[in-house]
Amino acid sequence: TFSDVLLFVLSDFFRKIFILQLAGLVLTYNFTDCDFEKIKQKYQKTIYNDLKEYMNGAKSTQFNSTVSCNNKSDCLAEIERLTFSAPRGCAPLAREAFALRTRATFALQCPGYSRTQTNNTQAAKKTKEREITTKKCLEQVSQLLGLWGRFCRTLWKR
Amino acid sequence: MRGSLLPWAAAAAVVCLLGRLMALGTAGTGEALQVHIICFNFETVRVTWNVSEPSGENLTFFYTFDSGEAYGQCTHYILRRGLTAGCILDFQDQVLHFSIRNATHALFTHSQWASFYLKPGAPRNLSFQWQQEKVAVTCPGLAHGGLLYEVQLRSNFDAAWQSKEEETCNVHIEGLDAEKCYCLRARVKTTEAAYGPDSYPGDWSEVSCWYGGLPSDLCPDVPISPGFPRFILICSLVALLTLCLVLLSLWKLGRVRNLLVPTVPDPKSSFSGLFEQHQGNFQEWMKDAQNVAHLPRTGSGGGELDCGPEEALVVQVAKTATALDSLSRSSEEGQPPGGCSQLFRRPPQSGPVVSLGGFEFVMSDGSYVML
Repeated sequence: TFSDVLLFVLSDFFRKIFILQLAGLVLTYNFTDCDFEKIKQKYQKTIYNDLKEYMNGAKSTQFNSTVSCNNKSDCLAEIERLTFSAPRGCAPLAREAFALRTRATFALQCPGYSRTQTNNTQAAKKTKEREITTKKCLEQVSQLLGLWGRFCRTLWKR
Repeated sequence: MRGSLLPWAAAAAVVCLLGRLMALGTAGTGEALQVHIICFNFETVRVTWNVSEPSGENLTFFYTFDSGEAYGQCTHYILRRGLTAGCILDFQDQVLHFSIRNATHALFTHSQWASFYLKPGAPRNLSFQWQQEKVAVTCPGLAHGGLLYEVQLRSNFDAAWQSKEEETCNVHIEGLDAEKCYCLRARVKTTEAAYGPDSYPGDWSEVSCWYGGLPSDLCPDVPISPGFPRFILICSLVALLTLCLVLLSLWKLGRVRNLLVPTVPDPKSSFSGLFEQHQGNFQEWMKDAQNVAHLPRTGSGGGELDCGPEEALVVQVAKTATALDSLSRSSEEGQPPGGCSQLFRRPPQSGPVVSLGGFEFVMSDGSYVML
């Protein structure tokens, strides 16, 4: 009957959703145990310069900021997502200098981070060569600058 | 069945997206709008706009810090000439989504971190702890990272401020001289890595001067620095020497001028000793000359005495005419005139006696000698 078919389809649909969500939980790292101060220092000394170099003179404030974060862990999670994602119109940024340094910093300062990135690393190797920087890529990197700035502002010494 | 759901989902997404765009509006064309944003010390955000071609209508400001919430209208407008020109809102360290609209459409829409336009305030409640050659400047720091606390100090021997920065408002400065007076000031600066390229440096605190670890109203005026250029010193000495030489030459020039064109004849050569010994007193000089120039009693070979050229001396005597008459009578009586000194051997009756060319004259008040 129609209801049986609908039930079958929906159950199959929701099962896949559940599996995907579960996979996401496994692959998403929890940044709560990281050494935030050292990550901040690494960003201020090297990663920021890499991001600025990628922007190639374009000011981050000329783009709309659409991604925000609230606390240290949340910010690092968003940073990781945007750094290693591939938005439409922009090739994956995972091979850029700032991305490599970000990954290395996370691996060094966040316990257990490197183990969760094995599959992602293999996927990154298959990406294409870097394409010409598009406006979309610059907008993506401007989001990263905003998130990193917010991350730095959450860390202050008394 | 599954495939038929996808077009519906896509259609729903497109509708939502379009609605959001319509709510936000798009940047208007035809009306240029200059927008300026500044965030004061993590407390307030001031957004101002300037319309290049004023249309005389009030613009409205809508904003939100949460992308998931609807926009709300500004409650504290800034007015200029009776029209809205800006909005002041409370700060949140989040992305500020805002839209400036007129009656029909949105003229300007933008979303950016409010902290990217930060201008920190001047540090408050600064305290200074002095320890001989060190000072620690502290203050309650701001509860935000990515800031630098800069302290500048200057002594009365320094021409420029010296700077030191720390990540906390606890700046230690060492190597100071306890004998010098120092003035200090502090401010908060933003780092570009945390606050982007459009943030502003904070205002300076009030200048605080200290001498010997105690507060001072102000330090003395900056004296000439120990490193006074040697060149200037040498030039000053050379100028002084040149001036002295010029003055000396002018003085010498006067003497040369007097030598070449004497204005007054110098009688020194004619009357030796008149000025040196008698300070120009001719009568005294005459006395002295009389004592010095004595007539010899026997001439050489018994010759006649030389009484001097008579034509060079004109002696006019006013009151002693009787003496001369008696003298001439005695000479007519046969007394030989031998020797000038014999003619006037009579002792002077009154006043000084002047002896000239062997003749002696008794000077009175009314008599004078003209040469």
